[in-house]
Amino acid sequence: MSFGSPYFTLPDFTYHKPKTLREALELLEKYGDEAKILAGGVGLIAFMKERLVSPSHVIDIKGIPELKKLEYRKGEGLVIGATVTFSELESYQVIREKYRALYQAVKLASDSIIRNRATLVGNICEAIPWVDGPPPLIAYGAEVEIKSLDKVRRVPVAEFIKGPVEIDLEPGEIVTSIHIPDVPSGARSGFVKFNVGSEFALVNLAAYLSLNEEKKDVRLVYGAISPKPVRALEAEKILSSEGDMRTLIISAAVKASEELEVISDVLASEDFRRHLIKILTMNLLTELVEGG
Amino acid sequence: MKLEGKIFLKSRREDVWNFISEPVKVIECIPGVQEYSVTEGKRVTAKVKVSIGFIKGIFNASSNVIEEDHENYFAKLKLSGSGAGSGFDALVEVKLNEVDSGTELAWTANVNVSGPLGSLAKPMLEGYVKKIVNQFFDCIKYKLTG
Amino acid sequence: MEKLTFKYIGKPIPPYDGFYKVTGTAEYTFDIELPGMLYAKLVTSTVPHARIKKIDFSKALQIPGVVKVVTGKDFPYRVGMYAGDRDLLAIDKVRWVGHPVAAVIAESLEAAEKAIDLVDVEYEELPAVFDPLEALKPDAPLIHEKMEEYRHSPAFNPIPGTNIANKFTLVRGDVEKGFREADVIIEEQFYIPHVSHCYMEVQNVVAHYHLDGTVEIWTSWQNVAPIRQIMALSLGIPHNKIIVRIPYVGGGFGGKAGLGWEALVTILSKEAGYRPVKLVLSRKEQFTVAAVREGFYGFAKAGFRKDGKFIAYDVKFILDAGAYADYTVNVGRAVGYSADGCYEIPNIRVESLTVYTNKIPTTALRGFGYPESHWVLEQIMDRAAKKIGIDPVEIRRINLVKPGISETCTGERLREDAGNPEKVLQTLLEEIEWNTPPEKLREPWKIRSKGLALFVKGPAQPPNAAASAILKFNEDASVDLLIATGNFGQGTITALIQIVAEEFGLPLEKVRVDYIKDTHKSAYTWQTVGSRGLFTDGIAILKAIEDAKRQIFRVASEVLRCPEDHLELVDGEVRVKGKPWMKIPLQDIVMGYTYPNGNSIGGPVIGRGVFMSTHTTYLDPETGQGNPTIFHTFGGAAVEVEIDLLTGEIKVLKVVQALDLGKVINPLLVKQQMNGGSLMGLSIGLYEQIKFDERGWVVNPNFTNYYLIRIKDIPKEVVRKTIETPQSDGPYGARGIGELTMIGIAPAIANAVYRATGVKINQLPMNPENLWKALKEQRPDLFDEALKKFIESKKLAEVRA
Ligand SMILES: Cc1cc2nc3c(=O)[nH]c(=O)nc-3n(C[C@H](O)[C@H](O)[C@H](O)COP(=O)(O)OP(=O)(O)OC[C@H]3O[C@@H](n4cnc5c(N)ncnc54)[C@H](O)[C@@H]3O)c2cc1C
Repeated sequence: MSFGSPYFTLPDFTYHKPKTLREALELLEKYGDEAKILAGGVGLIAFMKERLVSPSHVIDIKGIPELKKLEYRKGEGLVIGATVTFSELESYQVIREKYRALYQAVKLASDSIIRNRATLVGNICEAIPWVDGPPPLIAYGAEVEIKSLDKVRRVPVAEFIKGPVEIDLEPGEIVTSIHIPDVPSGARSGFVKFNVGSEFALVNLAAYLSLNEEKKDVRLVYGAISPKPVRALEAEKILSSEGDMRTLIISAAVKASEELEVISDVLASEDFRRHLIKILTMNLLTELVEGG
Repeated sequence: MKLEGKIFLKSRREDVWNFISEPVKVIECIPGVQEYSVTEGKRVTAKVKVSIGFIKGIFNASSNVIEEDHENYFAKLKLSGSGAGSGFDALVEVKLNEVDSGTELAWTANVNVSGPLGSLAKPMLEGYVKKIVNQFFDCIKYKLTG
Repeated sequence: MEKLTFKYIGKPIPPYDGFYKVTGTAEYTFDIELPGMLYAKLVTSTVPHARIKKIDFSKALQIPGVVKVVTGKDFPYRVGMYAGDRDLLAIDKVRWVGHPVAAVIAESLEAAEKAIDLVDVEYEELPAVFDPLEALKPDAPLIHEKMEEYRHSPAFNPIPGTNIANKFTLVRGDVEKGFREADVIIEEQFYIPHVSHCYMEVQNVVAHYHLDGTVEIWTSWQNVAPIRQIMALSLGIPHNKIIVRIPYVGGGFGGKAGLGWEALVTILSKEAGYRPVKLVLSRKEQFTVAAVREGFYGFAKAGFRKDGKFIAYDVKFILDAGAYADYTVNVGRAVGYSADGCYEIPNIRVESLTVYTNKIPTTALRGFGYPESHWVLEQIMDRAAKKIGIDPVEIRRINLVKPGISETCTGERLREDAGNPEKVLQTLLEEIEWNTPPEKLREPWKIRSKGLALFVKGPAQPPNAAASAILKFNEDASVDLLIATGNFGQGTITALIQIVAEEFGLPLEKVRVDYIKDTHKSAYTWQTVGSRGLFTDGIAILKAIEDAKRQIFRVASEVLRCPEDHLELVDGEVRVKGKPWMKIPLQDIVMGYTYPNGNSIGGPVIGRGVFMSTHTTYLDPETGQGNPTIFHTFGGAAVEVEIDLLTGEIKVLKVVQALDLGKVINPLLVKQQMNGGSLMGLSIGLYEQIKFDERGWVVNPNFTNYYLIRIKDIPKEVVRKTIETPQSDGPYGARGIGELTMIGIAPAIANAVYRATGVKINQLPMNPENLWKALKEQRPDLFDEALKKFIESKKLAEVRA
């Protein structure tokens, strides 16, 4: 996201390019609040150019080998390192096959120039409401791994993003990776967004359905409609109830369009967003139900 | 965006009034204030460090007294400022009411924010402003009553 | 010109400057770096309307590298071309969020950008007004207190004591009587928001005030002459001491016409100790500090007889000109006198008010008021057709002007050879297959529809806007063409080179136009705007060619001992007609002819020519009657759209544009103009809008939130058709094209939507949310039905009940 900057130059800063995670953590520890991590830089540089952040130390993590990890293990799931780009995710076969919602979100994000640089971890750390990364991650129940010199912790993505430009990250900490649980066979997921006449989505939606176990597991996660991505819990409940899924879609879509808190902003009004929530939900769920 | 709140202070209404009519005393309670000056007509200009999420910026802010009605213990201020490519203004009204064993300070603020902070952080601004206001009054409470 | 076959005219010659652009060797103002050059950066207002109480820049001066900070008080000049209302930096008062209040000059851009943050400005806020309708009320805050002191052009009528920068009125016939006779009356309100030009190269200027009082300027602008004129008049520098140079320019679209930053940067150069200074606007500043296209209201009442005849039109235009209206007053005039489009309307009354508000200043944008007047008129035509019960094509046929017979609303009789609007319409119908109903879709909540709009436009210029050309020969009979024609991507210069090469029978490479336009070296042309360049400068060049030929033939006639009118110029040789063996190569004449004994006659050949319109006039201030323009180009646009009734998305599948250009000098350039204009028209029609918040701040000053058309949005088919009804006084019969393709697209789309759904979209942009809202308000039944069909086709019917 960019808001427009009167400046051509960046504020003064010292650039660091650590070669190991340890080195990076030491720098973060040392500079605390004064430091910012640079991954793809798509978000950070724009924010710096606009003087929304002016860190005195910029720590480029692209030279750290262990953050490049992109790995799937059956039963354990997918690990996406902090410097893995959208383009790398797009061409990773497992994602295309097993994690459709993530695949579609990544593929539909912006254009290839941005996708070649932007990282998924950067996308969630930037924590702006209109991006496409968070909804699928939340739908899959993904967690971020956070490290500092003295500890490691894991936080669900849904909790990690606290609001616009606000994340659960202390000075001295870095997000090392995203962990997405394995998806049971037969589970389906998908992602849609509406961005006609807009660079960013007015509404985006990731859905996850797991139907073949005794209990239905349904998750609907909406982005761009509120300060942070939200699940439509009531709508999920409707979809999880007895009966043919196809007969539940309309009431779920209507519920979702009513139950959530929705904002008006420069891209769209609250009313139009609610309307789109309904249409997109019907579309995506029908597609998922038909697709299996 | 309209905000309002009430604070209870364990001081006499007159003391509270005298305290808050003194710009220098009040300014020091503004969270993040870095430097300030007071000019004629109780006009205050100050540099205030603002941080919302990971956005950080210095705002040049000023405050003007629009109305000061001692008789009714009512005051109206206009705050405005800019920084981090954004700008804001706020019309603030303060009224002191005598209550049992102290004073109730009732305030309302009509806040408008423009620029990136307006588009990005509007939804969270309310919480943020409330937080600032609470810190501010906590400080005043402390200064008044020790 | 009686020639029937041409070597270059009418041929798809590639643009002469393409090579330099694709190889990256073209030099733009941005590339100009001079020894000792300083950088300027503007400090801009954060409030919409306020008195400046104090500007404290002491801290800014402490930044290493900062040379000086200047404010409006330092040079209280008032500048401008038409309204004459502009200051260089705010004096006493700021009038919009973004108004430059001070400029920092520093050794580096870094230092300048640091320093602007340290300039403290103390404001005393004044009530602001953002809506022109509010600004017209008697108790509205007054934005320009000293309007009576502004030096405005005689074509305008500002009203001091109000916020009206110009009031244009036009009266013809008797509208009241017309309405009494009307069977059908249409009354509508229309709106168009502010939009930005979005040229690739942002505005930037380098100025150097020399110790001897000479001023050199490089700038990314459309025209050299007005810059010099405005600076000379306002700063009092003699004309011949101001040298304005314009190298390659990355787009203009009207946004680089009239007044720019040159006067300011010149003063900064002087203030900085006569060192060169560069100012470059950022993209954000293009949206908040530079001028954009005005916002627009149209209030229209139209009366028709039931046979379809348009008999009364009463229309009021209100332009939201923002804080300064220097150029927009002329847009207000043009939108006014173009209210009748290409129809004959016997009774018409127009009032067009250009109104100040506390928003960003405004200026020309490709189309210059005509997209606005046609957005109103062309939708009225379809509304009336429906009400009367005839086809949109039929109502247009009934009312279409007839060149040679009809008069426009300014009382100007259209020349017989003005163009063929009937043929334009016919071409559109064929190409869009008007009578073939659009395909029905498998997704029944989507519908397809076709719509069209006609238009006409001429240059909106002062009656005496001249042009001139000088051409001089070199020893090898190559030609230097010295013209000031702006070259900002339109391709005009290539067409002008073709003319010279054609007339002298020279290869194209032998004609050179310097890429730098220079007040000192190029022949004067008023401006390159309003689609006039090829017409006016082309005529001047043809005259210069005639002049040079006369000199050449005079010498040749002596040498060949043959009367001048028996000579002709073919393939770089002067020949005796019918006796091609009697000839002299051009290079033996162009520096003077030398006989074998050394005696010489003639001399270096220099041709000069001018264009001056002799029939244009100012318009009568009360009635708007007169001859405003030098030609009219007729055209039309037709579209096929696909409308998603559920999301409000309009997809344009096909665009047809047809123009009567008189003569196509270069079909390749015409094609590029028609493609570019179609996309720009689509972009403004469907997506673009500068949005303001309640405090007058622009909320989308960037290309992530201000959406421009992308590759994925481009229609599958863009059909370009040209018609050639030559105008006898145009170069080879040609008329202008530059702005024309901008005018018809938006109303054609709106008409297509109206035709299929009955939904009126009176407001741009026609983005999904706006259409969805209109649909829900005007045709809830259609919307519900679409939803039902969607549910049915997805087999979602609820079984639960
Ligand atoms: C024109 C444009 C169009 C866009 N369109 C889309 C779109 O369609 N869909 C979409 O989803 N997004 C879109 N984006 C947003 C873009 O995807 C994000 O900006 C990008 O993903 C950020 O990743 P990055 O690697 O560049 O992060 P950076 O810019 O390097 O970092 C972003 C923020 O995260 C922090 N950070 C980065 N890595 C870490 C880490 N490991 N630990 C802790 N903090 C970290 C940084 O300090 C910074 O604050 C668009 C952006 C632009 C400019």
